[in-house]
Amino acid sequence: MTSYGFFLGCMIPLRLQNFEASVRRVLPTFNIELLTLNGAGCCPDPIGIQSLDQKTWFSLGARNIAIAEEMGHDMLTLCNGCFETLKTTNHVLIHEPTLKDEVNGILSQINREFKGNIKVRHIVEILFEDIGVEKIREVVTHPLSDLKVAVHYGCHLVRPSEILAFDDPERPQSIDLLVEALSATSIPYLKKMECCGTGIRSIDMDSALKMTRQKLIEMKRVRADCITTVCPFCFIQFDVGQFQIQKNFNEEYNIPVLYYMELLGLAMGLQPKELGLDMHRIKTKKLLERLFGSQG
Amino acid sequence: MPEYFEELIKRCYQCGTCTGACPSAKITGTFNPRKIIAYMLLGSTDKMVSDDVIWLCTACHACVERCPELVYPSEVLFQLKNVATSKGKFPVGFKEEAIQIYTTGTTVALSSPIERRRKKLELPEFPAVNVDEIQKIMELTGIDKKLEFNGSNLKKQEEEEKQ
Repeated sequence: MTSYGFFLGCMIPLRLQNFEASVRRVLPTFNIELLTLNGAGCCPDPIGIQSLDQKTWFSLGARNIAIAEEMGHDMLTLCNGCFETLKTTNHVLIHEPTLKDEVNGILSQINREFKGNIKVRHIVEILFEDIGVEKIREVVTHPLSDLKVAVHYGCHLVRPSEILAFDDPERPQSIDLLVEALSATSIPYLKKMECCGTGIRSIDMDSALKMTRQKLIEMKRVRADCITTVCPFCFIQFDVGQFQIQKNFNEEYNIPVLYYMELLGLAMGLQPKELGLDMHRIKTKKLLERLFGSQG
Repeated sequence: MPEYFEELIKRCYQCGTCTGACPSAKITGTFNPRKIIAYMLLGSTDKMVSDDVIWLCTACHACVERCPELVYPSEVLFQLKNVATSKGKFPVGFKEEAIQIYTTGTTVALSSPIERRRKKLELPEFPAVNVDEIQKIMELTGIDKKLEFNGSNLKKQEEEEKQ
């Protein structure tokens, strides 16, 4: 049994409960125990809060890490944004003692201390590096054969590579291999590693949607059956974004978006309802019927 | 602008690889990291700090991966935005997000519909966030003053709403 300080963040438990449900139902199969990080809050957001004030960003991030340190466990994140924030904070504070002292000066006022003695992990790292593609293939009871998946990694899983140090920043393959372990096909498409646009959603919605649309055009061109992401922000940008694009551009894509853990859950024979698939904006019903027949 | 970054950008020879890699540059037509760094090299950092265009970086870090001179353009952008914030110039959306974090510790507030959805999926109760600690940190870093929101008023409001 491997135990992790389970960093929920805020978008997943408060908005995309389907993400959390799939993780909680799938991980016990791989002997992973999820421990509550008491008192943890927003990671905080690597774009908004970091843009406003890096010292606040580092200090709030260091507080979350300190909670996991007190428990003596590595941290598990389910979101690219939380991963970027917490892994960068961990890395920078470990390597820059002056900044670490400054942040610890702030944390001492709430009786906490950042030590820098645990790791921050993304769920994809755990699946790909620790569990491995072979073991994942072994738990598949409902192969997703003939399913063409457009994999969207999301920037903050792999960039900046100097800090995140997972897979290749421009030509990654971890999620493609994880998709293929479920007997599905990861279909190549242009602009695969381009940003979904969510980072400027609150600044310039029109441009953010144009970025999403560019990718959707390419995914449709290769006739993807669904998109898979490992980040709640990318998920919303594609799922809710398709409705906004329909309104603004009068174009319909209707490509379901699935969190990778949902795909894995389905391939393990879990029911769509217990994975929260009915919470998606782009309906997954037709896709499930095609995969598993009418009771799906 | 921290001195470290003033030195860092001196490595830039204006090849434009950053802008070529930039998804925001392609779509917005106005955001151009090479040009922003050019202005800074020419001593016009202040002009850039007050320009709304700097907030159009999506922080995808494609520029960081490709810059041959290791200038870390998206990181330079973060520094510019931090300076802008300390001078009272920031997008309202980001301010609202900071206020939300100050108030509840999260970017989305827990509500009864959310609790019902969690229950329906048989998820455990959302663990309580230690909001006091988060507020204390945000007051110590001074982000509340930079963003011109009054923490004690917000706390009072929150108390009144609870009653």
